[in-house]
Amino acid sequence: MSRLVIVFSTDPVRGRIIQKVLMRSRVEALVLETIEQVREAISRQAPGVAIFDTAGCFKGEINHLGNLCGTLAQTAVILVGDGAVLERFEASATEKELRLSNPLDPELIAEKVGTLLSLKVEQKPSEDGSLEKDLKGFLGLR
Amino acid sequence: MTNANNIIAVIGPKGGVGKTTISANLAIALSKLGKKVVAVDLDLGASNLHAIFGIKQLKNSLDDFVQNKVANLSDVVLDTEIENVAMVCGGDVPGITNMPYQKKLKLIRHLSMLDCDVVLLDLAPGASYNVSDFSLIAQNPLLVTTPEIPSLMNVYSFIKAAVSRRLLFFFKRNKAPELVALLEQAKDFEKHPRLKTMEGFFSAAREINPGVADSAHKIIRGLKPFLIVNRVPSKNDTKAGQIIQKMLREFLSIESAEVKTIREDRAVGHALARMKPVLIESPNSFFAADIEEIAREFQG
Repeated sequence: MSRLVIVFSTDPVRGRIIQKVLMRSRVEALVLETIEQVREAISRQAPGVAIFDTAGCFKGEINHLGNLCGTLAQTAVILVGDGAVLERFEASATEKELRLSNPLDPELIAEKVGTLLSLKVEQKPSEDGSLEKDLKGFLGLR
Repeated sequence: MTNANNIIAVIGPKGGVGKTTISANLAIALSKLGKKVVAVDLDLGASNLHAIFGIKQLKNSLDDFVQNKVANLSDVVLDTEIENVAMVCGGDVPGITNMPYQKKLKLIRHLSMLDCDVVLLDLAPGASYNVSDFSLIAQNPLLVTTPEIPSLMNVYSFIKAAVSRRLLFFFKRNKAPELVALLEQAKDFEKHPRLKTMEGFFSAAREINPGVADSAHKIIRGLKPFLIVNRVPSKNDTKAGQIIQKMLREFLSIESAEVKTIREDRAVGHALARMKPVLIESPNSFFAADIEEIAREFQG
């Protein structure tokens, strides 16, 4: 997984808050304020984690972000913002998408980014069968 | 006005799964749909529903009713700051958790007489007789769990115990002591492996008393438990719910359990810290959206 982390926020204050808290967790992040900058950054290198802050976005920007999410197959996407706005995004095709509704919680974002970056292929969540198997085991129903 | 179809019991077999938060916010969501709601804190001995509504001074509580200081339960109904949401604060007087059966019957009778569209019961954790009895009077029992194994285990066990209790009452009412004995045997399914599943149980029951066994089977098949999996990472994460549904089908012959999810949301902790319901503090949060979706299922 790429170690590149990008933060898109049209609100420079919110963007920098997220960046600063990530830095405290020793994660360097690139803060981008326009959709064009995001496209350019992605075309250079697919990020490991993309944080899209939808606060203050126009409808058109939300649509662009939605389209971008669909193209980021190798990237873990964290959508941040008002719950009602986040509902407008299509359901995620992968399990790599996370939605965090307001209020902005940069510590939580940093925690999630840290987890995502430390995930290795062999540490993927257990396959479907195992929860059922464990549950039946504990209940003596095997 | 209250009728026989409007009691919702919020049950959390494991403590700390968010039952009280869901109860308070579900009451508000139902009021937004035009319902007059009375939320009743039946987490006897450990009540705190009033705190979520921001009520600090209790003028009355269930204690007054239980101690016969007032004649009617309606005398201890308090208004909240939210329009069309009133509540009965829980009792904390020593011994209330083990209230005498007659007193419990009186309380149940008064609950069904409250003047409102929906009575919403916030029950204690666990599977005590109090919880079972109050959940049995509800037309709509909602079981709250989180996606972790300990909570899922408790919710499965609670449903199994409720099924068993319902069968026990049915067999006793239909004077079938031999089926009561079979039900007792089913508790030890390691010794009686045939009775491990409800299908196996009913197959054995049919050999003893086919008429009563078939009627009871029909009742169990008709059960429609409503499960809420709280704190899921994303709305599409229905894995835990699907597994419980599958196990209910496989072992308890319950075909139509319904499952809804509520997403993990920091807005909940934020609202709790401010002693405000999430639907008031963060009406656009995921939690609020998911609760409102659930409320629509019960608007009647």
